[in-house]
Amino acid sequence: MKRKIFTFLLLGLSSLQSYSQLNRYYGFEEMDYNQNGSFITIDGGFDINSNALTNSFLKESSIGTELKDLNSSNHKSEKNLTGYDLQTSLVFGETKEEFLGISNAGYFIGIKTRDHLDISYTKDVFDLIFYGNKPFLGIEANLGPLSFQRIAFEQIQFGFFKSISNEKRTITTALGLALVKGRSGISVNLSDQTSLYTQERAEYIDFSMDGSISYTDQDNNGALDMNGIGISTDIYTKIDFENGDNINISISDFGTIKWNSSSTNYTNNESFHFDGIEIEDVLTINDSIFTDINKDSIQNNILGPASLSSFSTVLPAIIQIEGTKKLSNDKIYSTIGLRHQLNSNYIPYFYFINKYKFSDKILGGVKIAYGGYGKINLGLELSTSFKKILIVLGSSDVDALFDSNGLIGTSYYLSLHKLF
Amino acid sequence: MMFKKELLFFLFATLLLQFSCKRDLTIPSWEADVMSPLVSTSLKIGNLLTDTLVQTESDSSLTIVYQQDLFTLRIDTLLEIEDTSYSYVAKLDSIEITDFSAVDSITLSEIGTSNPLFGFLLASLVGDPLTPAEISAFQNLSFSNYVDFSSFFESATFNEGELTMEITNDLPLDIENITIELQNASDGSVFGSVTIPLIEAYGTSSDVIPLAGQYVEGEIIFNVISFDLTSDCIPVCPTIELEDGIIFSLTQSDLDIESATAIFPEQSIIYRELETSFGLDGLWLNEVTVKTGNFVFNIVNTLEDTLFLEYVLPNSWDSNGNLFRATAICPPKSIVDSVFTKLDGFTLDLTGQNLDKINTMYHILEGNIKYTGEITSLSKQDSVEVYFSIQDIVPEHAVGHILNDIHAFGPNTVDLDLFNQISNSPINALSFSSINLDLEISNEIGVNISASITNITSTNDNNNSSFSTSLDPVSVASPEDNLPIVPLTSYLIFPNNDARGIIETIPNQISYSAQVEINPLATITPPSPQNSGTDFIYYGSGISTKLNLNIPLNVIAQGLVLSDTVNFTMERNENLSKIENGSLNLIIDNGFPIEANVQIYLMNNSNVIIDSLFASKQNIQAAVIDMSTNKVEDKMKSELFIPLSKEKIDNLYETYKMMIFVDFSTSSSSTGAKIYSDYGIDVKVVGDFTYPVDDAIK
Repeated sequence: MKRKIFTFLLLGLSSLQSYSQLNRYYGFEEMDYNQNGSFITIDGGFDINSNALTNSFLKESSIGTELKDLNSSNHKSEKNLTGYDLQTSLVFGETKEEFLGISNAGYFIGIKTRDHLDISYTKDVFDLIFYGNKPFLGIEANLGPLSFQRIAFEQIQFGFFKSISNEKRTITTALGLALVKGRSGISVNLSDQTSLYTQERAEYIDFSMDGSISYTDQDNNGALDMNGIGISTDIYTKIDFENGDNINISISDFGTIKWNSSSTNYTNNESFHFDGIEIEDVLTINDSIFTDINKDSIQNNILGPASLSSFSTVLPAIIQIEGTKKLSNDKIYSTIGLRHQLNSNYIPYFYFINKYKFSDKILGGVKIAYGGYGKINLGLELSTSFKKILIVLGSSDVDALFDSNGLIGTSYYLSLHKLF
Repeated sequence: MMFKKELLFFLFATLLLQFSCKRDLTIPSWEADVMSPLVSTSLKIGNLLTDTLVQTESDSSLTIVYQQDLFTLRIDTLLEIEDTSYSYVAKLDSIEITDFSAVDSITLSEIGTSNPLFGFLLASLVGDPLTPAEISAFQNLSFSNYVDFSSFFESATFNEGELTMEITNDLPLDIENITIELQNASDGSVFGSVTIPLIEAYGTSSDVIPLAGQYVEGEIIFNVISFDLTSDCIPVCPTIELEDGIIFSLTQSDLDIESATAIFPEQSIIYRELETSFGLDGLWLNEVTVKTGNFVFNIVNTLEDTLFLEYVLPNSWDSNGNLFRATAICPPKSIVDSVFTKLDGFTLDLTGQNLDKINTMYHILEGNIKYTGEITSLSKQDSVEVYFSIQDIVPEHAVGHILNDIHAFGPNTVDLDLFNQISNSPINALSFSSINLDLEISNEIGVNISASITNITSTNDNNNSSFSTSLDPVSVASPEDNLPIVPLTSYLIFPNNDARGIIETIPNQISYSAQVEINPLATITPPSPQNSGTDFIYYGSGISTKLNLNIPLNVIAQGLVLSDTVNFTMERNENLSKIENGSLNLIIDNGFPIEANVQIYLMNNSNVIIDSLFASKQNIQAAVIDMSTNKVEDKMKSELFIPLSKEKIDNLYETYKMMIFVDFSTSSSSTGAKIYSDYGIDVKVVGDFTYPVDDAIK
C-alpha cells in the first residue's frame, strides 16, 4: 500500500513530457529555456477518463480496490470509451550559442515511460464483465464492436533543437528520436458479430467471435523485461511572438513497436457452443468436474487454437496544438488548444486555460476541457518558480472532487524543471 | 563542478523513475453472477448395467442376461499321478572276459635241454633204432613252459569254471606217469594239477582242471614235473628224431568270474524288468498321455568302469512313434545327480508287461559297460546304486474306466452382485413380467453324469427375505473324445413361481446344496476286462454349473431403492473456494417411464454422513408413455437444486464418499414399464454462482 501511494504521488503528474514540455510553462522571467545553459526536467502524469464510467468507479478501478457501487455507473451508451495513461519522463538538455556548427541550438537526452490503455466497448460488455451473464439469460449480449489496447513501453530519446529569431518572433523547433523498449502489449479487436447467448436455464452458452486477440507474454512484463522493440519520434515547434503570445505544435510518440515471436495471437470468426463438459461415467464423480473447467480449457474452446508469432502496434501518438494570448498587465494568459491521440479510441480533446499571475513567483490557472475519453472536465494548475526551479502541480479533473459519481476522470500532473 | 551536479541529479532522478514504475495495472475486484453449464452426461441402461448384462431384442426392448457361476468339479484333480521313485542297489550280475585258450608243443630236443643226461644220450640215439636198455634210461624227465593269457586278462578269481587240458603224444614212445602242475608265473602258486598214468605213442589225453575258487594270472607256467618214456619194443624198438615231441592245449569253459583285472568286452551288468501300479481312486486307466512330467536318474557308480544306464518304457510312445527311452552315463567311481528326461507328449501304457492290467506301468532298466581297450578291475562285490523317479506328471489325457462316484457340494453360499444397488428395497418393490431362471450343467469329461440341486435359497440380508426350493436330477451325456472337447449341456429349469420367488426377493446371496454323480449307469461289479474302458478325461476338464437369469425388462417398481456408494475426492480449488454463494442446478431430461426420488449424502473418511447434497429429497418425474406406440416419445424435464454455500463447499472438500439413494416407482399400470434400448436420461449440471472477480482473471 505504501508503494502504491508513493507511486501515485510521484507519478500522478503532468500529461506533457519531454522537450515539448519545456516551453509550455511560461510567465516566469527566469525560466527562459532559450538562454544558453543546461536544464533537467522531470515530468509525470496520470490520467484516466471515460465517457461511461464514474469518477469513483475509475478511482476504485485504478487503485485496485473492491468495486462497490456498479449501479451508479453510467454506461448506457452503445459505444463507451475509457482510457488510461501513465507517463513519466526525465530529460537533460543543453542550449548553446552554437551546437555542431548551428547557431542557437542545443540537444537533449532523456528516458520516458508510458503505460497506455484505451477501450471502446458496448454496454453489454460492461454488464457482462461486471454483472456476469446471469442478467443475460435468454438474451443475446452484444460484445462487439470492441477495441482494446494496452501498451507499456520505455524509451531512450535523443534530440536537438534550434531557435530562429527576428524582431517579431522566435521560432523554436525540436526533433527527437527514440529507441523504444516494449514491455507489454495487448490488442483486442472484435467486430459487431461478436456475441454471447446464455440459454434461459444456462443449459448452454453460444459464443460467436469475429476478430483477433494478440498479447505479449504477460508473465514477464516487469520494468526490466523486453517483449518488443521499436522506434518513435517527437516533433515540436513553438512560435513566440514579440507581444508575448505563442503557438505550440507538437507530435510525440509517433512510431511503432514490433512485439517478439513469443506473443500469442488468436484470430477467430467462428461460433462456440458449450453445454458442459461431457463425462462418460456419471457414477464416477470426482473433482475433475470442476478442474476440467478451467480458464485454459474454456479459452481454448472459445478462442480456438493460439499461434505464437510477433505482431506490431502503432503507438498512440499525441498531437497537440495550442495558442496562448497574453492579456493586460502581464497578469493573465489565455490558452486554447486541441489535443488528440492517434491510433486509439480517443476523441479530440478541446481545452481552454486561463492563467493569472499572482506574483513573480506564483501563477495559477483554470482549465475547462471536453473530449479525450471523457466529457466536460474542469482543471486547476498552480506553478511556482524560484532559483531557476519550476514546480508545476495540476489536475485536469478537479471537479471530480465534488462529484464522485459524475462522468469525470481523474488526472494529476507534476513537473519539476531546473535550469542551470 | 556545475556539470557534476547536473549529472548526479540526472542519475538520481533516473533511478527514482525506474524503481517507482508500477509493474502492472492493478485489477480491482467485484462480484459477478455467473451461470454456466458445467458438465453434461447421458445415461442409458447400459450405464447402470454393464453391456454384458443387457441384451437388445429385435423390437429394441431390453433383456437382462445374467450368469453366476455356482460350482465346478475338476475331475482331473482325481487324476493325480503321484511321484514315483525307485532305488536299485545291486552288485554285478556277471563279469565277462573274452574266451581264452592256448596251444603249445615241446620237442625231444627241447626236453633234452631241460634234462641234460637225456639230452646227452639223445644226440647219439637219433636216427637209429632204440634198444630197450636205452629206452629204460628215459625216466623222470621234466620240462616247463610259459603260457600267456595276458591278452585276455591280467588276473581273475573264479567262482566257477574249468580248464580243459589236452595232451597229444607225437612220439613213437608211450608217456607214463606224467605229473603236471599249472602255476601262476608271478609267484609259482599252483592253481591246478593233474597226473596221467599213460599216454600211448601217438595217443591223446584230455583232462579237466577246475578253476572254482582259484586265482589265476594271465601268465601261467605249464609245469610237467615228471614223466617216463617207455616202449614195449614190439616187434622192434622205435627210432626217434629230435623234432618229435608233445603237443598240449588249454581251453577255458563255464567261467563264473568273481573278480578280474582285464580288458573287458562290452557287457551288460544290470538288467531289471519292473511293474509299478498307481493308486488312482475311482479310475481304471489303460493309458495316460503326459502333458508335462520328468523322468530323473540319480546314480552312484563304484565300478572302475564307466556305467551306461538305459531306462525304457515298452509300449509308451510319443505322437512321432518314438519309444520312451532315458539314458545316463556315470563315469567310474562317481555320482551323477538329476539327469532329467522329459516325458511330455508320451502316452504311457498302463496295462503292464502282459497288457492285461490297469494303472500299471511296465519298465526296464539296463546297465552296461563298453569295451575300452584299457585294463580295469571288476568284482562282483562292486556295487551300483541307481535311483530313478517319475516326477511332476500332469496328465493331458487319460483313457480307461471312470468308476461310479458321487460328489456332494455345499451347503455353499455365493454373493450375488446383480442387485447390489437395489438390495435395500423393501419386499415386493420389484416385479417383472416374466423371469427365466435355470441351472446350466456342462460336462466335459468322457462319462455320463447326473446332477441335482437338493436345496437352493435366495436371501436378501437387507430386507430379511428369502426363498428356497430344489430341483430333481438331470443327466448329461458324455461328450465325444475329439479335440477341442465340446461339452454337453443340460439344464435344470426352475418353474416360473420358483424363479419369481428367488429373484423378487432381490437377493444378494444364493445358498445351495448340490450333488453330482459320475457314471450313474455303471454297475457295482467292475467291468471286465479291466483294461477295456473308453472313458476319458482331459486336462482342465470337468463339470461346471452356472445359474442363468434372463429377465425381459418389463418392470413394475414401487419404491425400488437404488443405493450405491461411490468414491469422491475434491482437491481444494482456489477458484471454487471464492464462490460466495450459489447453487448447482441439475437439469434432468428423463426418458424412462419411471419416477425417481433422489438424495445424495456426503460421507467423510470415517464413513460418517456429514451433509447432504440436496436440501431435501428431489423428484425426477417419469416420462410419459404414448399410448398409441406404448413407448416414451418425449423426455420429461426436471430441475434439481444443490445449494452451494461456503459450508457446503467445505463439506465437499471433506467428502471421501457419496452415498446415493434413489427410489424408483413405475406408474400404477399392472403391465409394468417396458424398457427399450433408446431410453435414456440426460443430466446437465449448471453452475449458478456469485463469483468474485479479482487478480485471478489476469
